[in-house]
This record gives sequence, C-alpha cells and structure tokens, in this order.
Amino acid sequence: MSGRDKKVVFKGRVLPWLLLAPQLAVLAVFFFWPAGEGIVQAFFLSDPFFNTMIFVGFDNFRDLVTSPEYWDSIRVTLVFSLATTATAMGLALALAVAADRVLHGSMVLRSLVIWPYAVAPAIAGMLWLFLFHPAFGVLALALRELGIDWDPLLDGTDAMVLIVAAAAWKQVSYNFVFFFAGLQMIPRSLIEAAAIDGAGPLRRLRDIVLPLLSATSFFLLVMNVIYAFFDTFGIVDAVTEGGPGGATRILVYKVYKDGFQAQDYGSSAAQSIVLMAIVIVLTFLQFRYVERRVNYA
Amino acid sequence: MKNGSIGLFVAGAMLALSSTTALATTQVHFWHAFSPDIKLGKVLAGYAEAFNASQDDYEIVLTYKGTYDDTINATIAAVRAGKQPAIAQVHGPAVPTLIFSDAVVPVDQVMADAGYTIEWERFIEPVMAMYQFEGKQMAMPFNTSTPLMWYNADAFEKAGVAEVPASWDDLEAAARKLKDAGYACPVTSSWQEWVVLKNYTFVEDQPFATKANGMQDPDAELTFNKTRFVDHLDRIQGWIKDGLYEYQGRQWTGAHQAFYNQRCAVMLESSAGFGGISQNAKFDFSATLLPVEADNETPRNSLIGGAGLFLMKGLDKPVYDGAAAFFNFLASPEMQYDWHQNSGYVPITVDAYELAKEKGYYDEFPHQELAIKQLMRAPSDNTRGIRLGYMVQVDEIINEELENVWSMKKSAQEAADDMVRRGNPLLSRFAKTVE
Amino acid sequence: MIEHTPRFDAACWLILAIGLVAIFLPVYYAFVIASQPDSAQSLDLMTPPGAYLWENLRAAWTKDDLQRQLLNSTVMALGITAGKLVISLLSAFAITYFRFRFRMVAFWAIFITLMLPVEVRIVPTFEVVANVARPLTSIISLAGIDIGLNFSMLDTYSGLILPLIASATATFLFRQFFLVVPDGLCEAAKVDGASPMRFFFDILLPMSITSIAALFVILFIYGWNQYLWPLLVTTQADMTTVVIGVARTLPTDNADTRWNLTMATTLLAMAPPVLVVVLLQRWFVRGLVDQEK
Repeated sequence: MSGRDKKVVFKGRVLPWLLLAPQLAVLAVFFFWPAGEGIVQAFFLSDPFFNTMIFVGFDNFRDLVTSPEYWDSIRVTLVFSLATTATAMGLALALAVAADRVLHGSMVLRSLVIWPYAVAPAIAGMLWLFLFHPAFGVLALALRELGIDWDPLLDGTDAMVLIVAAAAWKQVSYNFVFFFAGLQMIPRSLIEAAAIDGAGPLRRLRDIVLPLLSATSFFLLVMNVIYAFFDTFGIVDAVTEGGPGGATRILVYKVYKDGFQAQDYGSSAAQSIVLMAIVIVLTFLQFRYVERRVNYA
Repeated sequence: MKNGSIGLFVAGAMLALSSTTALATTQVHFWHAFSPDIKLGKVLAGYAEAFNASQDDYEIVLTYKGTYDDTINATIAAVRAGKQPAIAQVHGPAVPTLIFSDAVVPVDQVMADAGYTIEWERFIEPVMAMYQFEGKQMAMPFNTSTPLMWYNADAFEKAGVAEVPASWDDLEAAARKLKDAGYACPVTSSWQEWVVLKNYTFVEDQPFATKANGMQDPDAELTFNKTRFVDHLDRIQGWIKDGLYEYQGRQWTGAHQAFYNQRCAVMLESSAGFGGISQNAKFDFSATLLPVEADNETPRNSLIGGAGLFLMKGLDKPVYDGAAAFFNFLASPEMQYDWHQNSGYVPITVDAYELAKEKGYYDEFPHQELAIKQLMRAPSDNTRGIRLGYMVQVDEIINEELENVWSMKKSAQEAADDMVRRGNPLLSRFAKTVE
Repeated sequence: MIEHTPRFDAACWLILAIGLVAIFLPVYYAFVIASQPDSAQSLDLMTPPGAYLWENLRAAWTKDDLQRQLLNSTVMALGITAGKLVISLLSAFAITYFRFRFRMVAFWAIFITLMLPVEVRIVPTFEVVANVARPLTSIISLAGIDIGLNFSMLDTYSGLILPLIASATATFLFRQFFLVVPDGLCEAAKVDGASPMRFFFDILLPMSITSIAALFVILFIYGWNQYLWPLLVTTQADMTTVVIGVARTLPTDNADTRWNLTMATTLLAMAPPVLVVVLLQRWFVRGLVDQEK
C-alpha cells in the first residue's frame, strides 16, 4: 500500500509536523509509553506492584512455546478466526445478494440487518447465552426436547460453534452493509449484457459480481480478521470462559485472563507480543497475496 | 442508634454545618464488588450509612468496582499510581497476591494503633486463618461462605430416599433412586474446582499441595494427584457415565437454574446460595453437610470462599483510624448477626454465632447453622487454608481438566496428573516473585 | 428485473427470512425477558412477551444512576469521536499531501497502533492517566532529578476519552480516502496560490463529509461500547458509563438476579448506538464505499 502515493503534493517542512503533532502527542503519551512498559514487562517476572522485578530474559516466551496448551490455543485461535470470518462474510454476502435480487435498495431492510453492529460484545455474549446455555437457554432447551444432543459445556465443537455464531452475528451486519452497497454500485448494464449472453443468475454472480466486489471483500477480510483476533474476548468471557477443556481458549482471551485476572503480567505481556506478531504477519500476508488478486476497478 | 428527635436534630445540625463538618470528616474509601443494584450491595450501603450516621469523624465512601477481578485490578492499578483506597474487598484467589505484597498494612496493627482491643481468638478459626501471615492478621474477613449439599426434599420423597445422604456412598444410592424416579440430573455442583476438588481434600484431610497447601511457604507443589481425590474424581466420572451427575458449567448460574427447574435434585453449592434458592425454588428444599467418605471418622473443616477486606498502605493515620472504627462496627455481634441473616454469609465471630443461636434463628433456618458447624470442625495441616500463587490460572487449569474428565477425554488419573503438571510451574514462578 | 427465475427468487426470499430470524432472535428474547414480571419463572421458546416491558423499562430508567450514566456515555462517545476525527484528519492530510523526512516513520508509528488494543496495555495506561506527567518525570528521573510533577486525569472526561483516542483506525480510513481524491484539485489550488490549509478547509474537508459521517458512526459505537477502560479509570459513581451500568445489574456471587431488569437496562444501553447506526446508515455506507474506489 505504500506504493499508492500522491503525485501532487504541497511544499513544507514545518507544517506537516504541526499537523501531525496532536496525533503523535496523544500516541506518545497514551500509546507508546504504556505499550513500551508492557513490552519491557515481557522480559521480567514481577509481582503486580512491581516491588520485585526479576529479569528473566526470554523465559516468559520459552514457557509459552514449550507449553502444548499454548500451541493448542494458537490452533484454536486460527480455527475460530477463520470460521468467524468465513461465516460472517459468507452469510453477509448471501444476504446481500438475496436482498439485492429481490428487494433492490430497501432502506428498511438495511436497517433491520445493520443494528447488531452497534451492540457491545459483552452484551452480545449475554444475549446468546440466554438462547444457548444448556441449563436455561431457550433454544438449548428446545433442542433437547427435540432429542438433539447440544452441550457446549462439555462438547468442544458445540462450544466453538456457539462462540463463532455469537461473534459472527455481530459482524454479519457490518459486512452486509458493505456488500449490499457494493452490489448497488455495479452498473445494471453490465448485468443485463451478461443476461442477454445467456448467463444465469448464479453464473453472473461468479463471473461478474464477485470479481467486482473483490476490493470490498479484501477490506472486509482485513477488518474481520482483526475483529476475530482482538475484539472477541468479551464474547468468550461471557459465553464459554475458554472451555470446555480449553476448546475455546483463544489467544486474546488468554492475554486478558492471565494479565487482567491472574496478574501474571510477564506472561501476559509476552503473549500480547506473540499475538501482535501473528496479526502483523497475517496482515502482511493478506496484503502480499490477497490484495494482488483484488480488482481496483 | 438514638431516638428519632435526636436523630432529626443531628441531621439538621449537620445540614447547617455541612461546610465545616466536611472539613472535619475524614473520608475512608472502600472499593467493593457488590453491585448496588442487588441485595448484597444494598445491605452493605445500609451499613456504611448507619456507620456514617453514628459518628461525625469518619465517612465511609463506597465505590462499586465491578466484579471481584475488576476490583483487585483497579486496586492494584491504583496502588501503583498512588491513588489507592483505604479498604479493598479481595476475593480468595487474589488473597496471596496481597498478603505477600508490600501494599497492605495488617489489620490487627491498625486496630491496635487506633486503640481497639480485639479478642482475635473469638473469631472463627478457619475463617481467620486464611488471612493470617507470620503471626499477623492481614485482612478482616468479610463475606465468608462454604459449600453445603442442597437438595430437593420433594424429589427425595418422590424417589423414596428416606434418609438424607451423609456419605458419598449414600449419595450414590440416592442418586440411583432419583434417576429411576425420572430425574435427568440427580446430582450437580457449582464452582467445581472449589467444591469437587478443594473441599473434598479438606473434608477428607488430604493434602492439596505441599507445605500445608502453601500456608507455610508459597514455594509448594500440587500433590492432590497422589491422594484419594483421584478415586473421588473417578467415581464422579462413573456417575456421569451412569447418568447420576450432570455438569452445569464452572460458575453457579447453570447449577442453580437446573436446580430451580427440578432437573437436578441435589446441588453441591455455597451456603451463600440460600438467597437465590429461597427466592426461586418453588418446592420444598433443604441442605445438609457435605458428604464424607464412609470410612472417614474425623471429617475436617471445609474450605471457605468469599472475600476479605484489606487495608492499603500509604495513607494518613486518621484514615486508618476511620477504617478501624468501621471494622470494629462491622465486627460487633449485632452487625454480624444482621449480616448473617441478610446476606446468607457466615458470621465471623463466635459471639455472633451464639447470638444467632440465642435468638432462635437456627430453629427457623437450620441450614444456616450447618456452614458454621462444618467450619468449626478441628483443622489439620491439610485444612488451614490454601495460599498459592497465580490461583486464577491454576483454577482455570483445574476447570479445563475436570471438563476433560466429564467429557471422557481423560481418565481421572490422567487429568489429575495434567493439572499438577500444568499448575506447578505457575506456583514456582509466583514463589520467585515473593522471595 | 432482468429475467424471471422463480426458484432463484424463492431461494433469495428464504435466505433473507432465515437471516432476519437469526439476527432478531437474540434481541427478541431480550424483549421477552425484559417484559416479564419479577415473579416470572424460567422461560422457554414459546414464552410470549409479558405485559411489564414498560414498567421494567421505567424501573431501569429511574434507577439511581442510569440517566447520569447515559449522559457520561454520550459525552465519552462524542468526545472520542470528535477527538479522533480532528487529529486523524490533520495527520492523514500531513501524510498524504506532503513529502517530508521521516514521513514513513510517522506513518508506521501510527499504523502499528492498530495491533495492540487497549485491553493489553491497560495497567500501564492507567498509570499514565493517574499522572499524565509520568513519561516526562520518568525520563527526567533517569538524569537523577525528581521534579515531582503530578497531574491526574482519573475521574475526568479527559481521562475517559484521551487514551481511547490513541489509535489509528480513523487516520487510515482518511488516508485511503485522500488517496483517491483527484490530483487535479490539489494542482488547481496550487495554481490559484491557495495555502495548504486553505485547500484543506475549503476543498478537502467538504469533500470528506461522507467519510467523516461514516467514521462518526464507527467511532461513536466504539466509544459507547467501551467497558474495561471506564471501569478502571472511574472511581466515582457519577462518572461511570451505561455499559458498566448493565454489568452492575449482574450478580457477583450467589445473589438474586432480576434478569428482567438487567434486560431492560440492556435495551436502554443499546438504544443510542443502534439509533445512531440506523439513522446515519445512508451516510455510513456511502462514506465507506466511496473511499474503496
């Protein structure tokens, strides 16, 4: 993305820094300083009050990579992120295509779909728990009546399905809005031309519509992956607490739990560095390999 | 408290002099985890108001800081920033963190400095032991509970369970009858790591960890994988296979709901669950002591749960005097009796217990006495408490591995070994930070 | 309609119907629970909405702090939104429309903030807010001088707002948008002898209205939904926010819970951000889609 620069620019050496000053000042004080302290903590073993600080070098990292449970968390996180992103984007695309086909540009419909985006993750988790908790969730009880074996408290797959559904629920609405708007901007003439050539609706979708949505899809992919990696610990905390047996213990939840609940700041800081590295690598890969296929028409 | 007219006069005078009294009153900040929207929070607010009205020197300022975890975090952050409250309510897993820190002042010292003579031996021992360190009383117990066995008496009658089970074998026999009578979940438990594991090791006098569960030295190792607990775990796994036990989640909501809607007939759960049960159970329910092994002739005291009040270091003497006055106020038998009745938690002094007995409270609510009786059994080195570091993570490991037993992924022995393998490095890491 | 394909259309209707049910189911039960009387027993799928919605909403609305909390949430969300918009517009302008030394360093310094959410650096951030002079005093104390400067932002709106402004999302979206603004406009402004700031205010800003509106929505929701940070940084009851208010109605220990009241409070806490999204959706969509080109 650094390749896309302005050709026409203003002159000035002082002015750009003046313009940047407020942002950089806020970042320096409220981001870089605390984040720096956090990174330093990753190399120490300390009590939460920092009365004792023992330099341990890379021990906190070594403890992570030698723990089978940590590797399991990485696997769980990748599964969760992939499933959430695919579900949220797939459903949103299906909804958007269907809505575009039969309802065209209905504002009412958009309003009906868009609002869950505004719901706080912790609240979303609570709403889902009322539906699916095995002991009192209304849908879980209905499933049991039907003889369907639904037990997210003990079945790791059920638990994963539950948090993916809750996380995707919030994100479908957001994705839908983008896809729907993207579809509305595809020229009718293009579709009509294809129809005259005898391409059916599904074929047109594959050959014309989806390629034209690739820029939108790419943007959403990046946003969804970051969402799944970082913004979902509230849902996990409310719904499964990482259980059963660690089946839904995603990395960001562990960072939060070890740091914020167990006051194991050293390990938590090391984990956030690892998490950050994973997201940076993923973002890089997305730009490197996925953006190349994007059609910036 | 005084009679009405004096109260009115005082109130009027205080209103008139509000500007001057504001200067004279020392504010004592108290951070806690009892939401003001629920009953416990309202009871606590009532005590603070009563204390504030009873004298002019100090004002208790309550701040609700969210969950227990939120409260301890806010307190730690505040200490590090020099903005600490005087009093912080700290729950079990975080207690070692504060006891070993430089951030708190011992309660007995503050009480003595403020001129109060406290007969500490009149407090209930296992309740106090949790907060004792190197001969000092590091915190004042506040809300204290311990698990009991709650049961649906109607279900017992329906299933033909004539005698209330006292041993685990009795409970198994009862569970089979309950199952035959159509109960999908004869037995369940809330807070499994506390009830199924730790309390079992206490009552059965088995070690949870070396060095008296860390009470002597936090550089200890978990050892429960080499005790009778493994057999117990194996038994409950068998119960699950036979449909005698159902897992309802790590916390309490699931177990409670399943108990209320009569899916589960027996619930191993905190004595403090009484509030919810009495409000929601539309059937005849009761409670008894936790089951013991049939061959156990001297069951030990159970393990407490709940939170204590710590005093944070670095404040002015008048603030501590105010906190001491408030603790003195809370510890009076009358207040403790009131707390016992209104919260469902156990009183912390023998005097309060005796007052409750004298007033005939237990004639009406016999199970409220069970918790105290269970706690007042003679302790051993295995049952004075648990003081190990990073307990939040250790508890999470225990919960995960228990779930692996319930879902038949691991045998009882495998899971217990894995708990110990994963937990011990955390204990030794923590021990390094407090040397 | 391009052609008539009843089966494909039927499938479309079916997808829409299922999608809408899935989207509305959780909130439907929130309404069902919020409309039950205090004495209600446990629910099942068929439990109809009760008659107490209005009463429970009123009880939630008149609860001690709720109105104050709604005000605080509004101030915080608007503060975060306004603050981020202003600093991001300026910095995105600097990064796209100027060539200067260390430009890419500044760019990456801003970009990296996307990768470390506030939850992860929350304790050190708290210390900075408790004494904003802390970075300065820490650096000076390395030289052995203790200047004892102390300026606390705890329990203030600035303390609630500023640390949440410290991230880059908005800068990025503005940069993406500025990149697609035709170069000719800038060229023309330069020919006319307009200063950079003149160009910024007279041309760039009016063109950015839709992007600003879109970001307004995103940032308002981001700010409104914050939980951990406000919990940590406020100690006074009259500074807490409404998301905390919802959490407050949940029990800590084995206490009684009034789920109907919890859900009524939840509905009230959800309403403002939902209204913002629904009412501003036209702008929201246009602003985000335009800058995609």
